[in-house]
Amino acid sequence: MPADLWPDFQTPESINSPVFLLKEQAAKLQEKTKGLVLAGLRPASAPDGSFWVGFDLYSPALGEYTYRLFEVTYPVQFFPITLTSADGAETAQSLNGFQGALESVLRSPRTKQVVEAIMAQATALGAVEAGK
Amino acid sequence: MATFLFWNLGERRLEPVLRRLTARHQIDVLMLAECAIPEDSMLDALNAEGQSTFRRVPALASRGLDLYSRFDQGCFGSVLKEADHYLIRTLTPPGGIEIVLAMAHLASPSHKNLRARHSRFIGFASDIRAAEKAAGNERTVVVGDLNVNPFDDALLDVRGLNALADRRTVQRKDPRRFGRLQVEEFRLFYNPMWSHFGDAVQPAGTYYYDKSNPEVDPLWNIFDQVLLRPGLLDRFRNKNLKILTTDGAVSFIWEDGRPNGDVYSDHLPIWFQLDLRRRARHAS
Repeated sequence: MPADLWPDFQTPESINSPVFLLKEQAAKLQEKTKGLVLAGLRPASAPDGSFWVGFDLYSPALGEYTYRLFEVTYPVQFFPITLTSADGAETAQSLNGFQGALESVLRSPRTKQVVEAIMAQATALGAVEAGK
Repeated sequence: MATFLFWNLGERRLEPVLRRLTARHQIDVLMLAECAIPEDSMLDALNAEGQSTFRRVPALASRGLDLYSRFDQGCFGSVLKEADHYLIRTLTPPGGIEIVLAMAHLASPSHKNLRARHSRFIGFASDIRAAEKAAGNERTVVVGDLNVNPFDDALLDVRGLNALADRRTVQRKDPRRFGRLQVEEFRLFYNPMWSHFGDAVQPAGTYYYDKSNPEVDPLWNIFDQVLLRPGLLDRFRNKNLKILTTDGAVSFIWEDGRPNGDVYSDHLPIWFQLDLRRRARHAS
Protein backbone atom coordinates (compact mmCIF):
# COMPACT_ATOMS: atom_id res chain seq x y z
CA MET A 1 0.00 0.00 0.00
CA PRO A 2 1.50 3.37 -0.95
CA ALA A 3 2.36 5.70 1.92
CA ASP A 4 0.08 8.70 2.44
CA LEU A 5 2.46 11.65 2.48
CA TRP A 6 -0.27 14.25 2.83
CA PRO A 7 -1.23 15.86 6.16
CA ASP A 8 -4.81 15.71 7.49
CA PHE A 9 -6.87 18.57 6.06
CA GLN A 10 -9.50 20.69 7.79
CA THR A 11 -12.99 20.52 6.33
CA PRO A 12 -13.69 23.44 3.96
CA GLU A 13 -16.44 24.77 6.24
CA SER A 14 -14.06 25.06 9.18
CA ILE A 15 -11.70 27.33 7.24
CA ASN A 16 -12.59 30.98 7.64
CA SER A 17 -12.49 31.91 3.99
CA PRO A 18 -13.76 35.18 2.50
CA VAL A 19 -15.89 33.21 0.04
CA PHE A 20 -17.91 31.58 2.83
CA LEU A 21 -18.53 35.04 4.24
CA LEU A 22 -19.79 36.18 0.83
CA LYS A 23 -22.06 33.11 0.52
CA GLU A 24 -23.49 33.75 3.99
CA GLN A 25 -24.29 37.33 3.05
CA ALA A 26 -25.90 36.18 -0.20
CA ALA A 27 -28.16 33.85 1.84
CA LYS A 28 -29.00 36.68 4.25
CA LEU A 29 -30.01 38.93 1.36
CA GLN A 30 -32.36 36.28 -0.02
CA GLU A 31 -33.91 35.90 3.43
CA LYS A 32 -34.31 39.65 4.03
CA THR A 33 -35.85 40.34 0.60
CA LYS A 34 -38.06 37.22 0.70
CA GLY A 35 -36.40 35.92 -2.42
CA LEU A 36 -37.04 39.06 -4.51
CA VAL A 37 -33.34 39.91 -4.72
CA LEU A 38 -30.64 37.27 -4.90
CA ALA A 39 -26.88 37.52 -4.90
CA GLY A 40 -24.72 35.34 -7.09
CA LEU A 41 -20.98 34.74 -6.82
CA ARG A 42 -19.20 34.73 -10.16
CA PRO A 43 -15.73 33.20 -9.91
CA ALA A 44 -12.86 33.54 -12.39
CA SER A 45 -9.08 33.72 -12.42
CA ALA A 46 -7.51 37.16 -12.22
CA PRO A 47 -4.83 38.11 -14.81
CA ASP A 48 -2.04 37.37 -12.32
CA GLY A 49 -3.47 33.91 -11.57
CA SER A 50 -5.09 34.84 -8.24
CA PHE A 51 -8.81 34.43 -7.53
CA TRP A 52 -11.47 36.88 -8.66
CA VAL A 53 -15.12 36.81 -7.55
CA GLY A 54 -17.87 39.12 -8.75
CA PHE A 55 -20.80 39.68 -6.36
CA ASP A 56 -23.88 40.23 -8.53
CA LEU A 57 -27.44 41.12 -7.57
CA TYR A 58 -30.29 39.75 -9.63
CA SER A 59 -33.94 38.84 -9.42
CA PRO A 60 -35.78 35.86 -10.90
CA ALA A 61 -38.45 38.34 -12.06
CA LEU A 62 -35.99 40.42 -14.08
CA GLY A 63 -34.62 37.85 -16.49
CA GLU A 64 -30.95 38.22 -17.31
CA TYR A 65 -30.58 41.55 -15.51
CA THR A 66 -27.66 41.65 -13.06
CA TYR A 67 -26.07 44.42 -11.04
CA ARG A 68 -22.41 44.07 -10.07
CA LEU A 69 -22.29 45.28 -6.47
CA PHE A 70 -18.57 44.66 -5.98
CA GLU A 71 -15.75 42.31 -6.85
CA VAL A 72 -12.95 40.81 -4.80
CA THR A 73 -9.52 39.55 -5.76
CA TYR A 74 -7.30 37.51 -3.48
CA PRO A 75 -4.39 35.07 -3.63
CA VAL A 76 -4.69 31.38 -2.79
CA GLN A 77 -3.77 32.19 0.85
CA PHE A 78 -6.86 34.52 0.92
CA PHE A 79 -4.99 37.63 2.07
CA PRO A 80 -4.40 40.42 1.17
CA ILE A 81 -7.91 40.60 -0.29
CA THR A 82 -9.07 43.62 -2.29
CA LEU A 83 -12.72 44.61 -2.48
CA THR A 84 -13.59 46.94 -5.35
CA SER A 85 -16.96 48.68 -5.56
CA ALA A 86 -18.30 51.84 -7.19
CA ASP A 87 -16.96 53.73 -4.17
CA GLY A 88 -13.38 52.55 -4.70
CA ALA A 89 -11.07 49.75 -3.63
CA GLU A 90 -10.13 48.62 -0.12
CA THR A 91 -7.55 46.01 0.75
CA ALA A 92 -7.78 43.91 3.94
CA GLN A 93 -5.10 41.74 5.50
CA SER A 94 -7.39 39.57 7.64
CA LEU A 95 -10.90 38.15 7.74
CA ASN A 96 -11.92 40.75 10.33
CA GLY A 97 -10.64 43.54 8.13
CA PHE A 98 -12.46 42.09 5.14
CA GLN A 99 -15.67 41.77 7.14
CA GLY A 100 -15.45 45.48 8.00
CA ALA A 101 -14.89 46.47 4.36
CA LEU A 102 -17.76 44.24 3.26
CA GLU A 103 -20.10 45.65 5.88
CA SER A 104 -19.41 49.22 4.77
CA VAL A 105 -20.33 48.31 1.17
CA LEU A 106 -23.44 46.29 2.10
CA ARG A 107 -24.70 49.01 4.46
CA SER A 108 -23.93 51.90 2.11
CA PRO A 109 -26.81 54.14 0.94
CA ARG A 110 -26.04 53.13 -2.64
CA THR A 111 -26.48 49.39 -1.92
CA LYS A 112 -29.69 50.04 -0.02
CA GLN A 113 -31.04 52.09 -2.91
CA VAL A 114 -30.09 49.46 -5.50
CA VAL A 115 -31.62 46.56 -3.55
CA GLU A 116 -34.83 48.50 -2.95
CA ALA A 117 -35.02 49.46 -6.63
CA ILE A 118 -34.61 45.82 -7.73
CA MET A 119 -37.27 44.76 -5.20
CA ALA A 120 -39.69 47.40 -6.52
CA GLN A 121 -39.00 46.47 -10.12
CA ALA A 122 -39.37 42.76 -9.41
CA THR A 123 -42.61 43.30 -7.49
CA ALA A 124 -44.10 45.47 -10.27
CA LEU A 125 -43.15 43.08 -13.00
CA GLY A 126 -44.31 40.11 -10.94
CA ALA A 127 -47.71 41.82 -10.62
CA VAL A 128 -47.87 42.37 -14.37
CA GLU A 129 -47.02 38.70 -14.88
CA ALA A 130 -49.75 37.63 -12.40
CA GLY A 131 -52.36 39.92 -14.00
CA LYS A 132 -51.82 38.63 -17.52
CA MET B 1 7.16 31.16 -39.58
CA ALA B 2 6.16 34.62 -38.46
CA THR B 3 3.74 34.50 -35.52
CA PHE B 4 1.20 37.23 -34.87
CA LEU B 5 -1.26 38.04 -32.10
CA PHE B 6 -4.03 40.62 -32.23
CA TRP B 7 -6.16 41.55 -29.24
CA ASN B 8 -8.57 44.37 -28.47
CA LEU B 9 -7.74 44.75 -24.79
CA GLY B 10 -10.78 46.84 -23.90
CA GLU B 11 -8.39 49.12 -21.98
CA ARG B 12 -7.68 46.38 -19.43
CA ARG B 13 -4.29 46.14 -17.77
CA LEU B 14 -3.40 42.63 -18.84
CA GLU B 15 0.40 42.71 -18.71
CA PRO B 16 0.80 39.28 -17.00
CA VAL B 17 -1.53 37.70 -19.55
CA LEU B 18 0.32 39.25 -22.51
CA ARG B 19 3.62 38.07 -21.04
CA ARG B 20 2.34 34.50 -20.85
CA LEU B 21 0.68 34.62 -24.29
CA THR B 22 3.74 35.99 -26.09
CA ALA B 23 6.00 33.43 -24.40
CA ARG B 24 3.66 30.45 -24.90
CA HIS B 25 3.00 31.18 -28.57
CA GLN B 26 6.40 32.64 -29.41
CA ILE B 27 4.75 35.77 -30.74
CA ASP B 28 6.86 37.89 -33.11
CA VAL B 29 4.38 40.69 -33.74
CA LEU B 30 1.90 41.78 -31.07
CA MET B 31 -0.87 44.06 -32.31
CA LEU B 32 -3.27 45.65 -29.85
CA ALA B 33 -6.36 47.82 -29.94
CA GLU B 34 -7.77 49.83 -27.04
CA CYS B 35 -4.43 49.42 -25.34
CA ALA B 36 -4.10 51.50 -22.17
CA ILE B 37 -0.86 49.90 -21.00
CA PRO B 38 2.06 52.35 -20.80
CA GLU B 39 5.09 51.42 -22.89
CA ASP B 40 7.43 50.88 -19.90
CA SER B 41 5.03 48.57 -18.16
CA MET B 42 4.36 46.62 -21.35
CA LEU B 43 8.05 46.18 -22.15
CA ASP B 44 8.79 45.07 -18.56
CA ALA B 45 6.12 42.40 -18.94
CA LEU B 46 7.01 41.23 -22.44
CA ASN B 47 10.73 41.07 -21.74
CA ALA B 48 10.39 39.51 -18.28
CA GLU B 49 11.49 36.11 -19.57
CA GLY B 50 14.78 37.72 -20.57
CA GLN B 51 15.02 35.85 -23.86
CA SER B 52 13.82 37.84 -26.83
CA THR B 53 13.62 41.56 -26.71
CA PHE B 54 10.35 43.16 -27.61
CA ARG B 55 10.37 46.73 -28.81
CA ARG B 56 7.56 49.13 -29.42
CA VAL B 57 7.04 50.06 -33.03
CA PRO B 58 5.34 53.44 -33.30
CA ALA B 59 1.71 52.84 -34.26
CA LEU B 60 -1.41 54.91 -33.96
CA ALA B 61 -2.27 56.86 -30.85
CA SER B 62 -5.95 57.06 -31.70
CA ARG B 63 -8.05 53.98 -31.04
CA GLY B 64 -5.26 52.68 -28.78
CA LEU B 65 -3.63 50.80 -31.63
CA ASP B 66 -0.27 49.57 -30.43
CA LEU B 67 2.44 47.41 -31.95
CA TYR B 68 5.25 45.51 -30.23
CA SER B 69 7.63 43.16 -31.96
CA ARG B 70 10.64 40.93 -31.48
CA PHE B 71 11.68 41.89 -34.99
CA ASP B 72 14.14 44.70 -35.37
CA GLN B 73 12.51 48.06 -35.95
CA GLY B 74 14.18 48.12 -39.38
CA CYS B 75 11.88 45.24 -40.44
CA PHE B 76 8.97 47.67 -40.40
CA GLY B 77 8.88 50.04 -43.34
CA SER B 78 7.67 53.59 -43.22
CA VAL B 79 3.97 54.23 -42.85
CA LEU B 80 2.27 54.02 -46.25
CA LYS B 81 -1.16 55.16 -45.18
CA GLU B 82 -2.52 56.43 -41.92
CA ALA B 83 -6.04 57.38 -40.95
CA ASP B 84 -7.95 57.77 -37.70
CA HIS B 85 -8.79 54.10 -37.62
CA TYR B 86 -5.98 52.28 -39.41
CA LEU B 87 -2.32 52.23 -40.20
CA ILE B 88 -0.71 50.55 -43.22
CA ARG B 89 3.00 49.79 -43.48
CA THR B 90 5.31 47.12 -44.85
CA LEU B 91 6.87 44.35 -42.78
CA THR B 92 9.86 42.29 -43.86
CA PRO B 93 10.78 39.67 -41.24
CA PRO B 94 14.44 38.62 -41.03
CA GLY B 95 15.12 36.29 -43.98
CA GLY B 96 11.59 36.79 -45.18
CA ILE B 97 9.56 38.44 -47.88
CA GLU B 98 7.95 41.85 -47.65
CA ILE B 99 4.26 42.04 -46.86
CA VAL B 100 1.85 44.93 -46.47
CA LEU B 101 0.42 45.01 -42.96
CA ALA B 102 -2.81 46.92 -42.37
CA MET B 103 -3.72 47.25 -38.70
CA ALA B 104 -7.19 48.53 -38.00
CA HIS B 105 -9.69 49.35 -35.32
CA LEU B 106 -12.65 50.65 -37.24
CA ALA B 107 -15.61 52.64 -35.96
CA SER B 108 -17.72 50.95 -33.32
CA PRO B 109 -21.43 50.12 -33.74
CA SER B 110 -22.07 52.24 -30.66
CA HIS B 111 -20.86 55.32 -32.56
CA LYS B 112 -21.68 54.63 -36.22
CA ASN B 113 -24.52 52.71 -37.78
CA LEU B 114 -23.86 49.89 -40.23
CA ARG B 115 -24.23 52.10 -43.32
CA ALA B 116 -21.74 54.63 -41.97
CA ARG B 117 -19.30 51.85 -41.11
CA HIS B 118 -19.75 50.40 -44.59
CA SER B 119 -18.88 53.78 -46.09
CA ARG B 120 -15.62 53.89 -44.09
CA PHE B 121 -14.62 50.56 -45.64
CA ILE B 122 -14.70 52.02 -49.13
CA GLY B 123 -12.01 54.49 -48.09
CA PHE B 124 -10.07 51.81 -46.21
CA ALA B 125 -10.07 49.51 -49.25
CA SER B 126 -8.95 52.37 -51.47
CA ASP B 127 -6.06 53.18 -49.10
CA ILE B 128 -5.03 49.52 -49.04
CA ARG B 129 -4.82 49.49 -52.84
CA ALA B 130 -2.80 52.73 -52.81
CA ALA B 131 -0.45 51.28 -50.19
CA GLU B 132 0.02 48.10 -52.24
CA LYS B 133 0.88 50.20 -55.25
CA ALA B 134 3.37 52.26 -53.23
CA ALA B 135 4.95 49.12 -51.73
CA GLY B 136 5.05 47.35 -55.09
CA ASN B 137 3.54 44.14 -53.71
CA GLU B 138 0.07 42.76 -53.07
CA ARG B 139 0.92 40.39 -50.25
CA THR B 140 -1.39 42.17 -47.85
CA VAL B 141 -2.66 41.15 -44.43
CA VAL B 142 -5.46 43.09 -42.78
CA VAL B 143 -5.64 42.55 -39.03
CA GLY B 144 -7.81 44.16 -36.46
CA ASP B 145 -11.13 44.84 -34.83
CA LEU B 146 -13.13 45.73 -37.94
CA ASN B 147 -16.39 46.18 -36.01
CA VAL B 148 -18.37 44.46 -38.74
CA ASN B 149 -18.97 40.76 -39.27
CA PRO B 150 -17.61 38.75 -42.22
CA PHE B 151 -21.15 38.56 -43.60
CA ASP B 152 -21.74 42.32 -43.49
CA ASP B 153 -21.80 44.26 -46.77
CA ALA B 154 -18.68 46.24 -45.85
CA LEU B 155 -16.64 43.07 -46.15
CA LEU B 156 -18.45 41.57 -49.12
CA ASP B 157 -18.82 44.70 -51.27
CA VAL B 158 -16.31 44.61 -54.15
CA ARG B 159 -15.59 48.27 -53.41
CA GLY B 160 -15.18 47.42 -49.74
CA LEU B 161 -12.77 44.74 -48.61
CA ASN B 162 -14.21 42.15 -51.01
CA ALA B 163 -13.39 39.28 -48.66
CA LEU B 164 -14.73 35.79 -49.32
CA ALA B 165 -14.92 32.64 -47.24
CA ASP B 166 -13.42 30.06 -49.60
CA ARG B 167 -9.76 30.22 -50.60
CA ARG B 168 -10.20 28.30 -53.86
CA THR B 169 -12.95 30.66 -54.95
CA VAL B 170 -10.74 33.60 -54.07
CA GLN B 171 -7.88 32.17 -56.14
CA ARG B 172 -10.18 31.42 -59.06
CA LYS B 173 -12.14 34.68 -59.08
CA ASP B 174 -9.38 37.18 -58.25
CA PRO B 175 -9.68 39.87 -59.48
CA ARG B 176 -13.42 40.18 -59.87
CA ARG B 177 -14.32 42.05 -63.06
CA PHE B 178 -17.46 44.06 -63.73
CA GLY B 179 -18.56 45.98 -66.82
CA ARG B 180 -18.27 45.42 -70.58
CA LEU B 181 -17.07 48.64 -72.11
CA GLN B 182 -15.37 49.92 -69.01
CA VAL B 183 -14.14 46.91 -67.09
CA GLU B 184 -13.53 47.48 -63.40
CA GLU B 185 -11.31 45.10 -61.47
CA PHE B 186 -11.51 44.42 -57.76
CA ARG B 187 -8.87 42.46 -55.88
CA LEU B 188 -10.21 39.92 -53.44
CA PHE B 189 -9.26 39.00 -49.91
CA TYR B 190 -9.62 35.58 -48.35
CA ASN B 191 -11.37 35.75 -44.99
CA PRO B 192 -10.54 32.65 -42.91
CA MET B 193 -12.67 33.93 -40.02
CA TRP B 194 -15.82 32.52 -41.61
CA SER B 195 -14.68 29.07 -40.48
CA HIS B 196 -14.75 30.21 -36.86
CA PHE B 197 -18.47 30.92 -36.58
CA GLY B 198 -20.77 28.58 -34.71
CA ASP B 199 -20.12 26.03 -32.03
CA ALA B 200 -18.41 23.24 -33.99
CA VAL B 201 -15.13 24.70 -32.79
CA GLN B 202 -15.14 26.76 -29.62
CA PRO B 203 -15.37 29.67 -29.09
CA ALA B 204 -18.33 30.70 -31.28
CA GLY B 205 -16.81 34.08 -32.18
CA THR B 206 -14.47 36.75 -30.85
CA TYR B 207 -17.03 39.07 -29.31
CA TYR B 208 -20.43 38.58 -27.66
CA TYR B 209 -22.83 41.47 -27.30
CA ASP B 210 -26.30 41.23 -25.80
CA LYS B 211 -27.34 44.67 -24.66
CA SER B 212 -29.02 46.57 -27.44
CA ASN B 213 -31.57 43.78 -28.01
CA PRO B 214 -32.47 44.30 -31.68
CA GLU B 215 -34.73 41.67 -33.18
CA VAL B 216 -32.18 40.52 -35.74
CA ASP B 217 -28.93 39.90 -33.92
CA PRO B 218 -26.38 37.05 -34.05
CA LEU B 219 -25.23 37.93 -30.48
CA TRP B 220 -21.91 36.24 -31.21
CA ASN B 221 -19.79 38.31 -33.58
CA ILE B 222 -16.45 38.00 -35.30
CA PHE B 223 -15.39 41.63 -35.38
CA ASP B 224 -11.74 40.69 -34.90
CA GLN B 225 -10.43 39.40 -38.19
CA VAL B 226 -7.46 38.48 -40.35
CA LEU B 227 -7.80 38.90 -44.13
CA LEU B 228 -5.26 37.73 -46.70
CA ARG B 229 -4.63 38.61 -50.31
CA PRO B 230 -4.39 35.64 -52.71
CA GLY B 231 -0.61 36.14 -52.92
CA LEU B 232 -0.27 34.93 -49.33
CA LEU B 233 -2.56 31.92 -49.48
CA ASP B 234 0.20 29.39 -50.12
CA ARG B 235 1.86 30.75 -46.99
CA PHE B 236 -1.13 30.29 -44.70
CA ARG B 237 -2.81 27.16 -43.36
CA ASN B 238 -6.16 27.36 -41.64
CA LYS B 239 -4.90 25.37 -38.66
CA ASN B 240 -2.53 28.27 -38.06
CA LEU B 241 -5.27 30.66 -37.02
CA LYS B 242 -6.99 30.34 -33.67
CA ILE B 243 -9.22 32.39 -31.44
CA LEU B 244 -7.58 32.00 -28.04
CA THR B 245 -9.47 31.48 -24.80
CA THR B 246 -6.56 30.94 -22.41
CA ASP B 247 -2.92 31.79 -21.89
CA GLY B 248 -2.30 28.43 -20.23
CA ALA B 249 -2.76 29.85 -16.73
CA VAL B 250 -6.09 31.69 -16.80
CA SER B 251 -9.22 31.51 -18.91
CA PHE B 252 -10.57 34.53 -20.82
CA ILE B 253 -14.08 33.07 -20.99
CA TRP B 254 -16.88 32.26 -18.57
CA GLU B 255 -18.11 28.70 -18.17
CA ASP B 256 -20.78 29.31 -20.81
CA GLY B 257 -18.09 30.24 -23.35
CA ARG B 258 -18.69 33.98 -23.46
CA PRO B 259 -15.68 36.32 -23.13
CA ASN B 260 -15.07 37.33 -19.53
CA GLY B 261 -15.11 41.08 -20.09
CA ASP B 262 -15.33 41.70 -16.34
CA VAL B 263 -11.75 40.62 -15.76
CA TYR B 264 -10.17 40.38 -19.20
CA SER B 265 -11.44 41.88 -22.45
CA ASP B 266 -14.87 41.57 -23.99
CA HIS B 267 -12.99 40.54 -27.16
CA LEU B 268 -10.94 37.37 -27.56
CA PRO B 269 -7.44 37.41 -29.05
CA ILE B 270 -6.49 35.97 -32.43
CA TRP B 271 -3.27 34.06 -33.00
CA PHE B 272 -2.03 33.30 -36.50
CA GLN B 273 1.09 32.29 -38.37
CA LEU B 274 2.34 33.01 -41.87
CA ASP B 275 5.24 31.31 -43.57
CA LEU B 276 7.06 34.39 -44.80
CA ARG B 277 10.41 32.71 -45.44
CA ARG B 278 12.11 33.65 -48.68
CA ARG B 279 11.94 30.70 -51.04
CA ALA B 280 14.71 29.63 -53.37
CA ARG B 281 13.96 30.11 -57.07
CA HIS B 282 14.71 27.13 -59.25
CA ALA B 283 16.11 27.85 -62.72
CA SER B 284 14.36 25.85 -65.41
